[in-house]
Amino acid sequence: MARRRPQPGLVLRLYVAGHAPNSVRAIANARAICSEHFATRHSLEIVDLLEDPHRALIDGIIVTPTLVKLSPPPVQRVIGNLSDTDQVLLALAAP
Amino acid sequence: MKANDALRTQDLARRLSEAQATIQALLSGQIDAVVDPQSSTPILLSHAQAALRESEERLRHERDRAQRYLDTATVMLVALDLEGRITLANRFACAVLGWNEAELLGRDWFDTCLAPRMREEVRARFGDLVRGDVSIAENVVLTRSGDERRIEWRSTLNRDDRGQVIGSLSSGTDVTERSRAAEAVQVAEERMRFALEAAGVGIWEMDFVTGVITWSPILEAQYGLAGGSFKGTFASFSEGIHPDDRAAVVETIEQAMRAGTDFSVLHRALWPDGTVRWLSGSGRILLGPLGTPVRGVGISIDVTERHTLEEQYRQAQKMEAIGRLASGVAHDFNNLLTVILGFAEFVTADALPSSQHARDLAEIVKAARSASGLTRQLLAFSRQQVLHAEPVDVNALITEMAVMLGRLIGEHIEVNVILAPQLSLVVADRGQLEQVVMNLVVNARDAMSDGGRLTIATTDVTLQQRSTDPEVVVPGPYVRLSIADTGTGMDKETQRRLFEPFFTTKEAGKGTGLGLSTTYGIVKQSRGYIWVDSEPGRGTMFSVYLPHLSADAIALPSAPAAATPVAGRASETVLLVEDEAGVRKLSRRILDLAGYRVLEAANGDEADRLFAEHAGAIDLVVTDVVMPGCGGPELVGRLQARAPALRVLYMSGYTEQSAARQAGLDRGIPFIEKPFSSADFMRSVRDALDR
Repeated sequence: MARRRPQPGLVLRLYVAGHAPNSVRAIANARAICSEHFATRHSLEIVDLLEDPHRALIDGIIVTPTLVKLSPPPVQRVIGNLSDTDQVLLALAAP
Repeated sequence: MKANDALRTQDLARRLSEAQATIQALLSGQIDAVVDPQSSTPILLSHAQAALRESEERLRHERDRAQRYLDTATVMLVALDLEGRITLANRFACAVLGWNEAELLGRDWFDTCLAPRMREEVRARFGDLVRGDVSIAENVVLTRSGDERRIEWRSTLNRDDRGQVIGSLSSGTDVTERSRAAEAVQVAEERMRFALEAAGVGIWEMDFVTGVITWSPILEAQYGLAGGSFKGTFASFSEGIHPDDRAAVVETIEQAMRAGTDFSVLHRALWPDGTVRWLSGSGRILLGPLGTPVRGVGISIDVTERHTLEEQYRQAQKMEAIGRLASGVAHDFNNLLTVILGFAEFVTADALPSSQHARDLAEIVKAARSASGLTRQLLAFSRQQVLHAEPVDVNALITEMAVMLGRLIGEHIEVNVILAPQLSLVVADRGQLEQVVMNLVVNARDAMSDGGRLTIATTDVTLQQRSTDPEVVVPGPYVRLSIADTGTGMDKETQRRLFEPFFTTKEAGKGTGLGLSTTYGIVKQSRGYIWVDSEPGRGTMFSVYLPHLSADAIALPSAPAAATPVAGRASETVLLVEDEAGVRKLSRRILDLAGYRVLEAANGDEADRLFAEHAGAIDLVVTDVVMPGCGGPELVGRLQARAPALRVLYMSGYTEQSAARQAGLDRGIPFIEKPFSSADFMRSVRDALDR
């Protein structure tokens, strides 16, 4: 069960609204970018705010889809359906 | 403070940039929902709402369609959770089980839909299923009304999004009718197989597409093969057929294949160990739409016993017919020879002994006597000659004949004599048995003109009927006398006709064709058997089987009475009855010469009339046994009814035994066998009168 977390680990959380079109697209894009550029050295949690609305408060989410980079610091957010890969990579790599 | 300000500025800048990004995303339509900060509830934007509605609609549509599939499916669809509770049952399943869907959902499948006797077993198998994957099983479900249906299930596992097994999904086909039909077919097949096996019927099947032939174990046994060892090809089938029959059988089957018809064959099977069996087979060839054979089926029965019996019966019938013919010819001949010899005797008595007449007459008598010898042989073949049966030691007989046989055989042939010590005695006519040995030895010699080995052997054997025996045997102890040569041998056809009179393979003038038929007659009359075993180029062995002398052996006949000359002149009156004019005249002449008074009649009725009309006494009736109209015994019966003291003498061209047998005469009644000499005749007449 103990999953070995890659060092340094990239920890991401993606907030979506059910199967709404941009949410679906964002999930697909996030997965693609992760597997292409970070291989196994990442974790991606998907939070559906239609199911768990209260979790929006934790990260101060105001729109979906929103991708949050939790680690390594600093915390970064990318708003939208993540179709601009360069922009996403820039945000994830930013110090 | 300064650092704090810096942080705040940085944070503000970040927030601003996020706000900008958010606005940009909103403007470019990349946002689905905005979270209401008060309630923290995501509020879907209108385009997202529309899209979601649409996808929900699509989802519902999909579900409806799936439901319709479930409802119209003509198989039972049942889903269970891991505990065996029903989570889905389609309309068909409900119809079969007799419940409606709402009643079924949530119930325990095993307790609800299975007969109690199989619940635990099926539940255990369900445990196996959810640990494994797709499986096929058949079991009996219990309907609400208590009926049982046999269902064939195909099951797979239900998994959730994460791939965890959450239950099973099974589709079931009602195979109750099918399995009942299959069972009926199986029972019928079983019954058929039993009947065929009990009747010893072998079955074959041929698939013309693959060329594979299948044989039942019985059929394999009919070809002398161990169960399962038949190779299944046409060539291996053809190998099992006797080479002499192979071409005909193959041709018959090929014809049936061309025409798509039934066929039947009778042929021999040659076993790997050399055994030969007769088989009778029938088959059916089924043609496909293109007119080529598709399938063949058939049966086979071992008919060796029947075939052997038929063969034996045919052979016996043939020999019987030939025997009748021979005996008829011999009978007529004997009458003629009686006349020839008798009158020749009278003329001889009148001729000067040294005259040419006397010498010529002697030649006539010699020829007639040798003709008489031939008729005797014919009668021997038809088993109607007089045998003087007595206990005979076959070993002693062979030993006594050894010197004579050696001279007969010649030096180019090696002779082995193998006599069993303490051989049992047999009952036979010694002289005739000598003739049997001589005939067989001469035949063996003639078959080995270039030299070879002759083996004469004796031994005690016990005969049991075997299927290979050429005739029906009386089981029991016998002495076997075998005479084997290493000569030319004989083919089957020659062996079949071997014992027929006048059948000979020797060149004209070298044999009478009566040697072996005489031998056959003597052996048969001695209640024995003579069998031949021969192969062209390998030699021949004759085996003569004679029954052991037993305690109830026939009483030994006394030696023939010594010839006593008849003295003085007779004075009695004799009624002579004979249909054959020559014999009648001769007999009359002899009786006249002896001084008897003779009344002559050509048949029974005439004799009857003469007897009634004659004033004086009649002392003796001399009559032929077999005559047209009233025969001898019947005539005697009539006459003796009137004159009980009347004496009788029978004459016949048949032997005493056969004439007696045919006419129903008692043994011991005076009888004279034709041809006879005048001295024989006068002595017999005298004896009959003096009894």
